[in-house]
Amino acid sequence: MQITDISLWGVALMVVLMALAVALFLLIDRREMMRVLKVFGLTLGQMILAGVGVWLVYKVDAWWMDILWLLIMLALSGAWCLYEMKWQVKKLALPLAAALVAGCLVAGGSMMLTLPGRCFVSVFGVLLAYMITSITLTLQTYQRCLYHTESHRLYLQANGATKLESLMPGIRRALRASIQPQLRTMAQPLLVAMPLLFAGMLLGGASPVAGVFVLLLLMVAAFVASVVAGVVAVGLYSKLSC
Amino acid sequence: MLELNEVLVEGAANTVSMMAQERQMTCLTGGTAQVRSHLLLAILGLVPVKSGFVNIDGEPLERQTMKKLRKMMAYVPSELRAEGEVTVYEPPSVQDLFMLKDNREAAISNGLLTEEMKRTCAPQEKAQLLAMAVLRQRPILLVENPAIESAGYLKGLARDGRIVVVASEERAILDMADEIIEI
Repeated sequence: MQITDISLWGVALMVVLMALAVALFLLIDRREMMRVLKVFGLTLGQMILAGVGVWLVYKVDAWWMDILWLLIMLALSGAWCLYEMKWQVKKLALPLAAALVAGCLVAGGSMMLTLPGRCFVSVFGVLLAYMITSITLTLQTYQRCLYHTESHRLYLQANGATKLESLMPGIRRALRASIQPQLRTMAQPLLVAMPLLFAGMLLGGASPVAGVFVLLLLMVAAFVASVVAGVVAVGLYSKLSC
Repeated sequence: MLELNEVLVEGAANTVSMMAQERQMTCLTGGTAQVRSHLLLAILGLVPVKSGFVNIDGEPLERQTMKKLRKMMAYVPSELRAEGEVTVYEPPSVQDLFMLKDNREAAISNGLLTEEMKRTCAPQEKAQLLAMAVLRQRPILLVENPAIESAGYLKGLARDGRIVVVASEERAILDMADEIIEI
């Protein structure tokens, strides 16, 4: 699809419909309306920034620009994870950075061997989105687990467990948490609710066969990225903090 | 022989020195429950000692020797509970403990465990923790706040040749002890 395929009249209609929907909220729930407007405004602003970034990457069309974009995205993803985890920079910066890089290298690297170079931005964009949720959930679950089971760990270590053996229940729980978001998405009835990614590829002009195939590949890559990132995050966190 | 030499742990006001011998039940008493618990964990090398040192059969408990010496001990906590609020609490099970590499050679079965639990005479939860530690067959047994009903059983374990160190304030336990160490 090209920008020229979009009808201006259609856009105008959408804006009017949006204004009507907001007006309805103005009548029934003014506070919620303000929230809706704020979220829409933020989304618009971020989409413009993201769009400009990706446009630049496509415009320059060089390997170094792709890498630069990835580095910026890695830094932003790390910062977002830290924000979600209340800025525990000292404890989490290293495990987070290593997890993001490892996930990208393993899963993203394999995907780039499979797909053409122009897919770089979309592939890493999807992987980072999955990894942010997965790493945050993994580390949050692990930290909670370590706190709740402190006496367990002492008990197990006092009765024959190595440090790793005593940490295993927490590690198991954290890794289970790392794949939950993706499993939830995959467990949706796909025939009823079409995956957004698939719909996006169809909008972009991909054939349905290619769309399904790439979607499945991306799901596998995202799963691998989540597992690799989870293992690295938990492993490093244990080494540094336990 | 288990020796504590001027050991000071977190929260304690005084240092502790003692010599726990085979075939003896030694009781640590006084101080707060937390300090007594810290002392037992310090013997295991699981909490740091502020000053002083722990010796087991003449070998000092240090970073290098900790793993080896810990293999000689079994520990029974006062209770197992989760820190903070949790919706579902799953304490380590008998399987969790005896699946550990270090415990795989210990003789364990449902029958043996039930029998040992009966011998302890303690209420269900405490009996299970104590029986699990005893079935690990280690020469040193460290017990935190045992049930008073288990006093005779612990004394019996000591008579069978183990070093039994108990942390308790209960009169019934103190009466059974061969040596009492006031913290």
